[in-house]
Amino acid sequence: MKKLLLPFALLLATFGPASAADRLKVASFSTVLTEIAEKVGGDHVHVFGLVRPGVDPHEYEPTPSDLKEVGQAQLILTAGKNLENYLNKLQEATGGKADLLKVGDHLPDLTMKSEDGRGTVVDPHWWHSVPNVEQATRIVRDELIKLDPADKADFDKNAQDYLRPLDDLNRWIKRKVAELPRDNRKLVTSHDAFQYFAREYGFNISAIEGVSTETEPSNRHVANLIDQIKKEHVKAIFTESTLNPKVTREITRETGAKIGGELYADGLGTGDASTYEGMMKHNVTTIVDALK
Amino acid sequence: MRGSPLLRTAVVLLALLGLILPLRSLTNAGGKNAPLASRAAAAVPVRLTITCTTAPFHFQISALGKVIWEGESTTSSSSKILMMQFPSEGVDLVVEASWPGKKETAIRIEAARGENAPIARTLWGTERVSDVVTLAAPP
Repeated sequence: MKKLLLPFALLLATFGPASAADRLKVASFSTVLTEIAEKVGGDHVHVFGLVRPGVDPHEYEPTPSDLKEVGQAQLILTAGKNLENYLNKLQEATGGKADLLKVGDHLPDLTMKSEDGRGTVVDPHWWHSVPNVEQATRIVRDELIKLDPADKADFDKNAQDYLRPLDDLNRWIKRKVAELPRDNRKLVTSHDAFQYFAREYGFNISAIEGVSTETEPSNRHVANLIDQIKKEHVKAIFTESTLNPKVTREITRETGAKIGGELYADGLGTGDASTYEGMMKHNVTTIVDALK
Repeated sequence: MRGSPLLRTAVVLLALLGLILPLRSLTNAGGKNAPLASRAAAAVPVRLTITCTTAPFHFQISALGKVIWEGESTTSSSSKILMMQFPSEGVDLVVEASWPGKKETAIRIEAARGENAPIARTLWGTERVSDVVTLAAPP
């Protein structure tokens, strides 16, 4: 029996999926990039997603065991646009051996008011625009091909398979958003993370907090926002899955606006929102249904 | 104050009644957050024109989740005046069109509101198109 199985085992070893040792090791610090790397890399990569769904990437700090895993990676994927403030630690952990790809840095910047209101900062949440995620997919594909040119055909095919539904998703979002009059597209969120979404799908946004979830909004900022919500007759405001919605509730009490629901601002969530498509559909449905 | 007490009471009551409406509008909390529907832009006549480089073609145009114009055109162009909201921010129209065969085809949607210059967008497809076009006056 063993003799009969041996040729099959050899065939499988030669032409079957790459073994764990042969696979390209990719460490990802973004839930969206983890999905992209897994889909595009397929059997040829082993992706460890270090920032997991539901974790606030603004507050994430790599643990020693995370850094150990990163040390084995050949490619490190980060969201970029200054979202990760621990990049020095990562580079120390790998000794600079792994390629560090800050994907967001290759995408257009949209700026927003800084937390102190004195200047502007870049919004790092580029994945709320589907065309940005399509571009990110091509960037990751090209990097994988650079590191593993022998599997170029598979990376190309996998990327195409992932991009096709993204096109459908973008069309679905545009149709869903078209149910809202353009003058009703006023998005007030508990975390300023939707500049790319707003630009792509025609919304005006106001945030209760600045770009980071680590700070509390000032009383003056909240008072100004209450005035603005009253003046513009905003119907609903939105909380975020990784935030305490206490301040949001106070604003709804003062303005009469309702809480429209929770949005996934910082990456993938759980359940229906555990995929990029699911997360976007959740956010868009929540926003449109509440503002109708 | 002279006159019968009954008359005086009636005058005071009338005066109080006259104050109810303005007081109500001033104090009603709902007034501050009036429903958006009541503030929605009024419907205005808009001439929509759909032009297709392949005829005949079937088309459906929706706005705010409702079909506003649907038809089969045997000529390359159809036009209709519709009453619709057209705020300064513009409108999003969901345009679907199909035609027999597989031919690279352009579909042009044009909206003209009153005396304003028409705004147009073009979509391309080989068998059908299905997309959202935003018609907004240039800033």
